[in-house]
Amino acid sequence: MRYTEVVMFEVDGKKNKIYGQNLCYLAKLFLDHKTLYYDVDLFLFYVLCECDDRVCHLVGYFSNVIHSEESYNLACIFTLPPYQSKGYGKFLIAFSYELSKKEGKVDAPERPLSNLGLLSYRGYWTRVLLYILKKHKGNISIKELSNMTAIKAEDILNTLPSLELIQYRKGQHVICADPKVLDRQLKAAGCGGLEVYVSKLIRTPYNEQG
Amino acid sequence: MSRLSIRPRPLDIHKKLPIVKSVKEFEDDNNETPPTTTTGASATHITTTRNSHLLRLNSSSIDTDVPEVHQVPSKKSASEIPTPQFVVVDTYERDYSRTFSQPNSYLRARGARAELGDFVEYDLDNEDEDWLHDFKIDRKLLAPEKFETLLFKLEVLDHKARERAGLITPTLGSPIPVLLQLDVAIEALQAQTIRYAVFQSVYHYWKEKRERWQKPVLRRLQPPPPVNDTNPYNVFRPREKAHRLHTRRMQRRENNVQSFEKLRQVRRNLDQAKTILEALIKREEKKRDVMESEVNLQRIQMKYKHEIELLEDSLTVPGFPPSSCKFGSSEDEYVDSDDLANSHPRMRPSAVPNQPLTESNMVTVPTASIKQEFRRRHMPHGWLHKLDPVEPVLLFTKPLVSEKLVAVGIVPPSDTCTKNGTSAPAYKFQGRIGRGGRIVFDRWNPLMHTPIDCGTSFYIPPKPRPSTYN
Repeated sequence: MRYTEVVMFEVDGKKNKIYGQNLCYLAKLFLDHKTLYYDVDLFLFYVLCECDDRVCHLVGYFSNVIHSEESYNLACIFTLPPYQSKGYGKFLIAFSYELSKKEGKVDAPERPLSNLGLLSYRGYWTRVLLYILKKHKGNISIKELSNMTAIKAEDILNTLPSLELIQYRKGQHVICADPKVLDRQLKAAGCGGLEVYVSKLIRTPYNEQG
Repeated sequence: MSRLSIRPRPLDIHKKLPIVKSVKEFEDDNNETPPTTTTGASATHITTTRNSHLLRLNSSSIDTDVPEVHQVPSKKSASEIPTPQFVVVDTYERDYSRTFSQPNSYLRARGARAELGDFVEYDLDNEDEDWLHDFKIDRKLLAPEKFETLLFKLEVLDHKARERAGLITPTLGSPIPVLLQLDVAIEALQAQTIRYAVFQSVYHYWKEKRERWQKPVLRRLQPPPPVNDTNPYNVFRPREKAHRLHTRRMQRRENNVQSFEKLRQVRRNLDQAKTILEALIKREEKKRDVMESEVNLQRIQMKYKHEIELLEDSLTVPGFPPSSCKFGSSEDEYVDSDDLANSHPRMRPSAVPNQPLTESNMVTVPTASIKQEFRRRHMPHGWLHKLDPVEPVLLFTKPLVSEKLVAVGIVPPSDTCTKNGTSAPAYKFQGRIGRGGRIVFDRWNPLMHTPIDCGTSFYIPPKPRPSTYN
């Protein structure tokens, strides 16, 4: 068993146009719904690699628009088939949200989500929110949940009611956080992927002159 | 997805919601299967529906034993998807020897590379490789790397030639011709150790390819398709950043005199609006104060009137003698009705003079006060009564001024009927200025000598009155 290290590269589409385009072509081979309408120079590519003693192997990536006005934190996400089912996809989603948190923003993936994208994100949102609800003491507002997780309020409002965790009692909304129910929902959502060690995420914001 | 059939109220995202840890009703009997989304899959579904080149939800731990070359077939749907074939590359161990180690520092991007530097940006595609294969069969020697280098340099030289001729377009509009001639190319690439014949073949192959492609072969030199190109097979259109900022900020960028004047005008308008609103607020406050004052006044008058009743018991103030004062010649104060000019005269429709009256209210009045009332309320002839200066005026009781009525042509209702047995002619009507400045003629209560059903007849503490009061 060789030791593999997981490495993330941030590639600027403007500086590495051919690389970015080729990466998009590669993803397009597997993602039918992907569009290549616009050029890559307004995108950043976060490329995930497994590194061994030979080379860094491309595993997957996600792209994001630089300075998105609709506060998107992810445009396209893809894991190469040989590396699927290893938690890398979930890792990439979590990573995108960690970047948002670093910038102090609340973001969301670009719409429209593909069918599978929606499933993956539902799983992610479920895990993150329910984990908080299990431990949280006292009351909490949707806005606070949003600020803690960098998940947009509307995505939270899409997730919690669909898990039937929002009830209306005695004239006000309450969040049901019965541990048994939460565990059941967590199980259905699947386990988390590779964990993002936030302490290792040292990032300076995108500098156009850099 | 909610089980609620009615949505009571939209959820306020700023409001803190209580987290209820154990709710018995929450565990629904119907809720046997995990809730599903509209896309219709829980984690277990997905592995059976789509095929493998999609992300999956169920994950295992990282598989560190990833072989370099061949692919891991998917577990669940291996029968559906053909396993791709692979070829073991014999130079693999040399190309990717086990000497890589991750540097400790971050990798930063390098700047732009020189075009005619050592790095060859071009890679042979299938077409090129096939041609080279055929070419080699003729026993002409040309290494693939050399071939690559030549093609790359030809591309760059041609680009430069077009640049000099001013033919470079920002987007792909029309076919891009080859400008580079063979002899020019030969001259420029003299340093390349290559036989003339070989070079000539390469040149012609490249030129022919260019003519087929109608654009440069090297991707970097290909202009992007125009933004409005709708062909779905053309990709990577340029997107202007300025175009994306589709906000009003675009206009604000123009920092000229015109926008300055506009802003000035806006400021002036806002100041005016502010002044108007402030005046409005003041006016409404004053109105409110006026109303409060009136209310207080009425309250005081009520109180005062009540006290008057008690006073008159002890005082021997004569009841103000009636005097015929149809026309305002007396010194006594007449309450003028300012509203008369403004109000439209309206006769009370119920001008029925001959109603006998049920005087049950008389019964309830204590005798002492009745005397007072009589003394005080002895009304003068006619419908005009002058106002006792100290008598408080209650709401809507301002008496009418006769000349004013005459001036506007109002004829008071007929009052010639007299009843037998009454000491004074019983005028049937009592005029006053009523609500909203209306002129009201109340029916006259001959026994009590007060207008009927006039709230100001006498101030008695409320006692039940009969409902059959005409």
